[in-house]
Amino acid sequence: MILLLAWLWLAAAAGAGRTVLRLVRVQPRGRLEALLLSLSLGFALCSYLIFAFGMSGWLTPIMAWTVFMALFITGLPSWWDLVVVGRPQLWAERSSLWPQLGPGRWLVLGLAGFGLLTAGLNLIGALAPPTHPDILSYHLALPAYYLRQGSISFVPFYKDWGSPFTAEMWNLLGLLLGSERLPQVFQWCWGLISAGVLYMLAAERISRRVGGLAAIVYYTSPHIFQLSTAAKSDLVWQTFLFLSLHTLLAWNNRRDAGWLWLSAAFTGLAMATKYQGLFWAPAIGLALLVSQGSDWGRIPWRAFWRSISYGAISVLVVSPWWLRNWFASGDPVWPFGYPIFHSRFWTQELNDKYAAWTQGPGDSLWYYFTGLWNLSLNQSAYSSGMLIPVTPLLLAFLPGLILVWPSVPAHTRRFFGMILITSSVYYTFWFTTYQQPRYAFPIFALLMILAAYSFWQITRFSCSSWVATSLLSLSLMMFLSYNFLFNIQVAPVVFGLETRQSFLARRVSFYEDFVWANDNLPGHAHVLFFHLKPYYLDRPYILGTRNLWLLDGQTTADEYLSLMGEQKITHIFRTGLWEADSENADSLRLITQLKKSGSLKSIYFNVRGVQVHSRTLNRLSHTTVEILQVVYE
Amino acid sequence: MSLGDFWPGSWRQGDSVMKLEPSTHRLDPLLAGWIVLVAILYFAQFWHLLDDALAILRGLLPG
Repeated sequence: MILLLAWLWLAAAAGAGRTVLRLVRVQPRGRLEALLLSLSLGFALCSYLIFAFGMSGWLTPIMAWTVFMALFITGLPSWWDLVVVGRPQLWAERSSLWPQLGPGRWLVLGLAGFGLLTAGLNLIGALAPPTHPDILSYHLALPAYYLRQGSISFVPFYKDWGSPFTAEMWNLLGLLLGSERLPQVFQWCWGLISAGVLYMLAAERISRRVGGLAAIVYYTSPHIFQLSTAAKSDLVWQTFLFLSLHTLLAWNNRRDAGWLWLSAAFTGLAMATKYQGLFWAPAIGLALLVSQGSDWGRIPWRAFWRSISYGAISVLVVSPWWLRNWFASGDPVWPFGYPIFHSRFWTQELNDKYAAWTQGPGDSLWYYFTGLWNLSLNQSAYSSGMLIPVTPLLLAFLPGLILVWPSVPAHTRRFFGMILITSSVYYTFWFTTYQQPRYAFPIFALLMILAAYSFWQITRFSCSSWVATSLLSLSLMMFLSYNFLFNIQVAPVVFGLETRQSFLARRVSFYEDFVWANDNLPGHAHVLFFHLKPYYLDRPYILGTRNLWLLDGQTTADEYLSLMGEQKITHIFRTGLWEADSENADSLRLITQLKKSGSLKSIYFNVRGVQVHSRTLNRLSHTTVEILQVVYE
Repeated sequence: MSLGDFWPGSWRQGDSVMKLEPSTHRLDPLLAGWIVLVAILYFAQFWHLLDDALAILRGLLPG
């Protein structure tokens, strides 16, 4: 049923997207391109419709099906373009396919097998109840919050809650349709779509083998298969990003303006899906300036206006999200624009704290140039590095390109040049900010095209051929094993051998405490929630974060109680985990005072609240959880 | 519709522009050494995860 729903919605979106392509007079060059462009545009169209209706306060299942009908009807004239016709011919061609693959055909077959096995395992993971920490924090928690309040608004509960939510509108859609797993299945589809776009980007310009290898290595990577089972936004974001490059290159070849504006729209959508899209905008902008080449000398004004228009369209596409944040907080990219806009609901102290956050080994020039080495061979230097491995293939194969460079054709060199320009700019922004390996994945994927090209060339050499093939096989086997261990653990709950309750109790921090709260707190309760992952709390809540509650050493217990009264707080949910963070020292002090004075009454205390450190490795620890009732005089 | 209509590009690397026959390069052994070095250093850093993997597998066994 979930798979059918996912298919229905994506098919409706693809149809509508195909009509949009017709309207902007862009003619795709093949069925795959038509399908991927249409899906992406239709997905974005659906997201923006839900966003618009949600902002106007219409957030019901009827709204969802109205959007579906709108997409379906819009797509009616274009359905035929997306249907794969001529199956008999495809079937007849299968016998000629094998010889066409040429040398390395067994490797191609093996790669396809790895891809299919990974997709199958990912689907099992996607059908489990949501447990990914970021989803429980905001990717799914914020759509659930919108649903509870009946509208979309600016909710500044913590730093990620102001992010542009183009992808998460489909999470909201899943919840509207009554399924918390449907958003994960959408993302499973986006894993395949993003790999398909990467394939298309390379296959059209180099070969199917290069595209296929780049796409399979990308899709089987631990970061990507984990994202394929979680309702996050990265896969949609990366798809938009790859498409903005693909369509820019298509424009560069044909000089048909429709492709350029499409590229601008995808750049805007990348910015409207994740804040790191802002890193991509200057990267693709530089690629646009370079790709206009001789135009700057021949027709400078035209090249100038073309570049300005590109930027304007990108900003126009992302503007609904920026405007919402701007009107509510004075910061379009809340809270990260704080140094410029001095955003409301944020503080200098928090700005300084997060500006200093980094995951990498260092920020000197040495670390800048050894980034790929560190990301591949020094993964313990990154906080998530040892848990979610990055592929060794980029570091291993990219140097091979130097050996084969003289035989690389000119048009391929230009293509590689565009990848290197965009990757370098993006990498510079990535390096000078948070250095989270996952955020570098778009450039890993793009550079994988170069590495795949290098690999197929290396297979002609006598020594390097077998070591390169062995390393590729070993790393794919390691990642498939990793995927098996990651996803097979959820198989019992997916196939009905384990209850949802016991599964979540093992994999979601404080789940059993949420169950107690849901069963025992009155329906009108309004909870002050001292934990960053509220998804499974089924009561209205407000987070106790420092940006919302401006407490300091001078704040008195009575003032704190008065602030709670203004927010109509009836209960407090707090954990030992929260108390251990020195950032919360003021709230802890005030709550302790209020307990002593009798204004807070403990109604639930669990000394063995479960905190999950690793779902896959089943690493847990215990801490206290307390629920307090507020007593107003 | 043919396969070519659906999947862009050709199967091999440009066919006309890239040689497919075996080739030699004087730096080939150096490249092979580099790949082996990367492989050893890469897998060595994840060696300890084998214990975790075996623990997960044991947990999956009935009883």
